[in-house]
Amino acid sequence: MEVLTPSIEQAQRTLCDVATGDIIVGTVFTPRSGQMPARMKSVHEVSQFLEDLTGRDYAVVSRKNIHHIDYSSLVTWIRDTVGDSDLATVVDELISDGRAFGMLSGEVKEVLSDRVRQCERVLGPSLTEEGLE
Amino acid sequence: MANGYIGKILTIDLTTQEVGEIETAKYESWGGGEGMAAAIYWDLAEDKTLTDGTDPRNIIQIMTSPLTGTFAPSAGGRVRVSYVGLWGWPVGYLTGSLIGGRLGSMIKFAGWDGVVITGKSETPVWINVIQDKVTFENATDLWDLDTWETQEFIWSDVMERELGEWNYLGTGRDDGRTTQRPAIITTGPSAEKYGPWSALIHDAGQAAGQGGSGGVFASKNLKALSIYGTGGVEIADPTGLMEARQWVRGFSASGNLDDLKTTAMSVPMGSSQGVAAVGYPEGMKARVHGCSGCIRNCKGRTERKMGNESRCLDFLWYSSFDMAAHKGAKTDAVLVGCDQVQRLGINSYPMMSTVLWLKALYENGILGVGKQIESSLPYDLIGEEEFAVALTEAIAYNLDIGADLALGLWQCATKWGRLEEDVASGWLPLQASGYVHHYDARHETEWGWGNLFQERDHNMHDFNYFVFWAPTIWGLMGMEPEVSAERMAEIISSKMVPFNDDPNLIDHSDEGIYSDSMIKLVRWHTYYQKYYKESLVFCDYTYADFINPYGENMEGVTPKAEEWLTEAVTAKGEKFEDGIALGRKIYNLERAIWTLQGRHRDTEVYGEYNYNPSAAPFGLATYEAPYTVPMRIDGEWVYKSTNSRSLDKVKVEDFKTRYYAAEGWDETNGWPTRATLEELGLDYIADELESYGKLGA
Repeated sequence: MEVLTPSIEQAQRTLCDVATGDIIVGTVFTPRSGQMPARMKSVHEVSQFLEDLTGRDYAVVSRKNIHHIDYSSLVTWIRDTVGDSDLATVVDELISDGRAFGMLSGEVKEVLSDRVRQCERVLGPSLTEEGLE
Repeated sequence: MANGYIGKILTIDLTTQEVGEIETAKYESWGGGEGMAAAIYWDLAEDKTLTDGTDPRNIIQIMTSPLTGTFAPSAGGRVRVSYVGLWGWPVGYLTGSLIGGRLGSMIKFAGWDGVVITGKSETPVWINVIQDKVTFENATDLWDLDTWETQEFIWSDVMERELGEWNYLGTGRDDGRTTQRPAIITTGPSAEKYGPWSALIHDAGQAAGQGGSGGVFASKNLKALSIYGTGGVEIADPTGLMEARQWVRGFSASGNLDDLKTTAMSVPMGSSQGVAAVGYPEGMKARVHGCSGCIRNCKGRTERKMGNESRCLDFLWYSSFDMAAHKGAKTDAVLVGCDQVQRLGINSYPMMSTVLWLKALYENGILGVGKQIESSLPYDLIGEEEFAVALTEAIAYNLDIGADLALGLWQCATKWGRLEEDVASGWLPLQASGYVHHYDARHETEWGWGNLFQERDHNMHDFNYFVFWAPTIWGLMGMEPEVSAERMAEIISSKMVPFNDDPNLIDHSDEGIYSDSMIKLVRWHTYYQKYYKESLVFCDYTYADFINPYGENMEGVTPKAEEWLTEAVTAKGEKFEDGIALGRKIYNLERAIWTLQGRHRDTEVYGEYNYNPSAAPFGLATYEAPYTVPMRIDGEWVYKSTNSRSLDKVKVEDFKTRYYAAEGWDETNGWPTRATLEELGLDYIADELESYGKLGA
């Protein structure tokens, strides 16, 4: 499912940093070492945080961290805090098939990244350069 | 008979500068390490009720095991440091910390099974042990040096020649020569200023971290201990030891480089070398590094000499902040944070919780310039190198809020009037005994129970890898579990002698965490820890090895490895269950000491956040990450996430009552009883507890 092209106002909202109290928190799992919170304030940061990895990446030789975010919380956060209901709907549909977190991580990352690029195109270089905070 | 022991323990009285010996044979029945140290403490302590770790009567013991200095894999390079600590709540209990590297083996090579340090020096000193010769050196000019500078100074002072050249430790031809450097354990700069945080550091990043070991050193005007030796360790069956080592190696990644298993079940023996690399920024080159005689070599030395020999929380304390500040990338900030704690000799374990707590206070307008808690640290630069340096130096040099933090976290929170509120909310997650949350007692309850009934975060991963990490990774990544929950329960239970007739030991269901089976698991875990991990000093990163991808039917090396390796060294005919029984004895001895120090059922309590399902264990984190564990539901074993679960206070108290009963302790106060102590051959301890009015009924 494609996300509708946003309006300028919507694009600005989607690219904005949220207020400190409205951040979304993910978890970095370092297998066999510990868990750490990862605090993100924009869709862009979430898109960078998520990784496109497979189960094989967590095998004995690779020692990768797992960057986890709760998808249900993410959908709620995008819709209610960021204010991008179109994007929230697309992510919600994507995760609705019940696949495991890691099997969806790359796809969710791609959707978020696409949305960020889409918004940047709508705003154009002059608007994004002004800063949206 | 050659049995892994050297035969003598070095005693050093800092007050009189007298040096002596204890015959190891007198304490051999306690194994080594923690067991031996507790027994010696019982005999030597002038006042067993002592709870102030800075009191000159405190005793520091650095004890090896018969396996130290041998080729026993993931055991030969380890040693345990024991002392009355500075961090614990409500008082400093007899505690300690294990340390790797070369220290333990060098103590043995110098001709000692351990070092016992008493008294207090009038002036700053460092102790120079070369073989059997001990001298007291002036440390006035070293007192403000960091741990790396101190070691560089002592190396240059002690060694005749550069590293790698032959150094002669005597005047005669056969007095011994070595290409090694002395092994040094040292505090950071003026460690008395941040005693509870102060770790003893050896080489670049080996640390005895918890409990303020460096602060205890500093309180005695002791900067460092340097040990240099060229001897060896005679063992009972060298061929048997090498056979056992090769057998164990067959279960490790390093023994299977042509057949590396691509498995999430790479725990713990099976995991690969250079695990520390997970802490480095992407693409950083390093070579693997390990403690003496290790087959796993989990640490690293890097191309840019940053993060050397560090791992786990040394990196983790700052890496999430680094990544948050740098669009998900790890940068040099994590390495700067890592090296700061190593150079300053700061225990890295509470650092992450500290930053999260400060961040929560700052972002909620409680901490900062002109705020309720005045501070001008650069909180807007959390994640950058500047903040890592500013915070660690604030603690070490008592700058800004550092003087308060340096007291210890629960002490600092008390001073700020925030203890109750912030522990209840989880902003400051003090799980038990004043130690911060490591793994979550609400989910991985065996970790929590172990902490509740002991004096510190026990930091024992024996079950953690299997019951949490592997199922959680499988679940997160949609991988087919390599062993079913039922098979995992079967394998692990079968290895937990003498409780191996109970198939439900690892049941982490809502009922299972309070069950009699869980009581057995907690007891076994503590006994195993006390003897095999902390007395014989088998490394926590490797043992216990319950499940292993290289094992037949996925079975790991425990308990065969522990029994075989110990027997090859000592030839005592000791069975694995004998070791578990000895672990129980050591635990009861320590329990008696803690009882005299004031420990009571009423002090064995969880931080309030554990009873609150919405409390965030780490500052502002939401609590939605999966915590997948094995459990039995309606007779079927499954892996299931337990997130949003909290503990039930009534059930916790009931568990305590039944646990004390199972241990043979007084249910009303948790004190050992005469019957139990006499059963363990500890009649003399029962007598002394009785004389203090602290014998359980």
